[in-house]
Amino acid sequence: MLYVLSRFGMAAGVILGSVTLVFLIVNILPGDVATLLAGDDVPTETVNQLREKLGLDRPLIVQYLDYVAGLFQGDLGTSYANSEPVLDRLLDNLGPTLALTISSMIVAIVLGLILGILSAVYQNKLLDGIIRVLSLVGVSTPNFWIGILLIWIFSVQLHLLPSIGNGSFEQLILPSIGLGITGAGVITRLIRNSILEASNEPFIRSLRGKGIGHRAILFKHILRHALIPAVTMVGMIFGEMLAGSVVTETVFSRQGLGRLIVDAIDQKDIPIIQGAILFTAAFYVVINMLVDISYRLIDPRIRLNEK
Amino acid sequence: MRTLLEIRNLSVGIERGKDVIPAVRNVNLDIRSGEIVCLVGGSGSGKTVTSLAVLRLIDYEGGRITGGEIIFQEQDIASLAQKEISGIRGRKIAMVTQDPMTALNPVFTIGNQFVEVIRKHKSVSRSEAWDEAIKLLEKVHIPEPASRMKQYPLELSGGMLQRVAIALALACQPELLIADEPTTALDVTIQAQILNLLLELRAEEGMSILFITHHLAVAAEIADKVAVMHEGSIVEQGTVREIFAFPGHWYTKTLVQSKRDLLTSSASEENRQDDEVILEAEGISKAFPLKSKPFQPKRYVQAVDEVSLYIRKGETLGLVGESGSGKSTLGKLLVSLQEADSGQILYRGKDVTGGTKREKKELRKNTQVVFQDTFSALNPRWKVEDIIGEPLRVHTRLSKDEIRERVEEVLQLVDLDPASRTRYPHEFSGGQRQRINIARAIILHPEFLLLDEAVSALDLAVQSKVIDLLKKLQLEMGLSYVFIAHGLDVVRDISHRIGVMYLGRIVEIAPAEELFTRPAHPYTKALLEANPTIDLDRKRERHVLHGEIPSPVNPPAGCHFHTRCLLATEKCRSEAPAMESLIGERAVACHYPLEKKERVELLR
Repeated sequence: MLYVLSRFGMAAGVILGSVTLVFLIVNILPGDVATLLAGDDVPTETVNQLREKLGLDRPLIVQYLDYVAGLFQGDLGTSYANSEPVLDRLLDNLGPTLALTISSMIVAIVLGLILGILSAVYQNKLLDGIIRVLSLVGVSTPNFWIGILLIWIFSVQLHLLPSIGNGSFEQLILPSIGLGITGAGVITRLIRNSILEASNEPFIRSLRGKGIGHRAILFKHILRHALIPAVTMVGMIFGEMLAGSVVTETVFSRQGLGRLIVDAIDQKDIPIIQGAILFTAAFYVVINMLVDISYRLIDPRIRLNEK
Repeated sequence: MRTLLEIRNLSVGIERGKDVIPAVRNVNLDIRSGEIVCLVGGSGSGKTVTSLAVLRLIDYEGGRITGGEIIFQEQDIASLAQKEISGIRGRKIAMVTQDPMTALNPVFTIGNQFVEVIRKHKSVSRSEAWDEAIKLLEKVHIPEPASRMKQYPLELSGGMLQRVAIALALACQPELLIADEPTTALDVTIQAQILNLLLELRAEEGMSILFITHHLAVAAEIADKVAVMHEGSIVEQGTVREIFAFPGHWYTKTLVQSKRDLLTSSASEENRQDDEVILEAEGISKAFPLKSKPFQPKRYVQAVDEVSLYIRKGETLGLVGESGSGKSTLGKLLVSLQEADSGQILYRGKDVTGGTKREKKELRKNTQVVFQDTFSALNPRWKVEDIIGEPLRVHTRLSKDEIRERVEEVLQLVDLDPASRTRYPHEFSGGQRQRINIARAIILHPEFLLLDEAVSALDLAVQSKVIDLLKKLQLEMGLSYVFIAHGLDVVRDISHRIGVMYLGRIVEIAPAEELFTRPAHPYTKALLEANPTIDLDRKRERHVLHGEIPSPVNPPAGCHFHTRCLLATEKCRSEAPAMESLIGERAVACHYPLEKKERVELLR
């Protein structure tokens, strides 16, 4: 229990750290916000008024403290572009991105597990060779390229699935595969190697000596060991997927946090950028916290070593 | 007695790419029911491969049976399909492996592993299997079996785990138990307990045991029949008496002889030249903090507790004791690899605790170490000459040619070919690698060498050669050794004096022969009695030290040993005995030293 609490404390620290970092980076970037927002051919006076109205004339540290204080009250500021509260804009876009990353994660895990197990069981056979080539291709091909290929094959050529937009389940299929395939490749390779490694553990020999069947050994004993590194990897892949969603949402013209960030950067809509990154960081931290906690369920040694 | 297992002309090959390398050739072996047969031999002799072939587990480890038959209850295991064997494995033939720490799946509780095996072979419910498992744990004398069932393997000690592994193997009342080095990873005291347990189970269950060991004395203790393996063949087999009293084959003769050589200390007082004390420790202690929870007092493991000793020039001081007794920590303190919490270490009369960096460097030059694992002590990416020459590059300003010359010299000194200096560690055998380690340790002409289990990983025959080398170097260079080992016979052979450690304290220290012939501390006596011997007339008339070494976090009050001591009194429970000198160079920390009492009785 103490462990979980201390993890929460660390998570809060990481989130605050990333908020600070983003605040600094966004404010150091060249280009004056007020000038940009006010548009061309506007008198300096108007620009100054705008700057005052947005509170941009205050010292950076005051702006920062003001922003952090707002965070604790659930106020992420208002968008420069259309004066909507940032939180509302983010929540509107959160659903589609969550749906995309979660379904991509499912693609990655299911595909990765199945192919990884097959690859290890048929080690050095033809099937293993095919899977290893495929996973290498999956790992090394950029997301957007896979996305474009999928659109070309399944939408343009075969007319099977819609290529753009969000809302229906069909519209989720291609983007999920496009975003999940890299993770699937990584997990496949990892599972294969960890299964082969775990098979050499001396206790596997003992289990065979006790007459335990092939399947029980693989699924109950070996796989549990192989899962430990894979779970770590899932946490990291999740981070990459959040980053990848920026590109994937653009390729498939989907609404979502990724698109929101891209648009906000174009318009230098700082509150939105900060808010979106805060959200992403929070997700990443939460997922990795879950990963850390789940180790302790999978591997009792971690729990016991702390006693 | 009927024959249970008949191995006929068995040959096994290991697949390496497209080749099949023969690992076992034409092995013939019979095991009758109720009989204990020992397969004895060095590493790589084919003992384990033979046992894996009997269960056909060799198929999973890149090997295959290339000829012969394994007849078990009128079936030829060698020609069965894997599916048909699963009815034999675990049910009729069970297996116990060497390292109990890795023989069980660490992520499942002990209970779950029992239930899985029992339900695999018997149609019983989960709770019936659970109850049966508790009975099995009772049978192997595990205290509080019901609570052990809910624990994970790493919560149990090695000895306990080996009992669990044996209980697990007994789950289906097998007719044959294959035990592959089941006591090698254990302390002598625990080894004696496990050997007794196996003998007891054989008597109760009437099962046969195929016992694999590299340890001759263990074979002598437990076997009815012994088969000696060498390079994949059985070179000789017979009853224990036949093999050990009248070895026929040259390999058996060498084995038995090198074991006998160990049984007397050849490091007698005469071949020690000097009385000058090189290294001295005065009341040194070392404690390691345990990871603790916040708001709770920090707990410590007292690894070394107020130890005093001295080592003279050209002398070997042996250190023995069960694992967890603090031998290795004491060794590291002596060579300043670890800093003592309190106490003094004097090198040639000068205090070296808390010295400056330069003083430390000077000390390190004169005190060197050799550890157990020959391979991990050597950088695999370096050539031998770089490894051995490194100390010279650190401590001297010799030129490249001079270093090469010194390396060749020292290689010759440890009986390795000087031309082998350009090779890499993996190209050498274990014994040769240890010679490289020794060469590196002596190239700076140190005065003191810490040998921490330096020969423990080596086969008997190789071991005795490395010991001979160490003795030779000691005579030629006047080296002093602290020799740490869990094998008592080796320590006896090489040491002038021996210190016995228990829970961080030295409980007895005495000249080697005296310690072995007339132990003064009850713990020393128990250790010696647990030590297996090939002396056939002495065996099986000893009491086995019960229990295990207590946790050093919470050592028993008074004399640490009182919880396991048969002679303990109220005084022992409350008052820690101080080190007291006996005659000559002997000292013992015991309220009732055996030596004294016997002496008193003699005087009457």
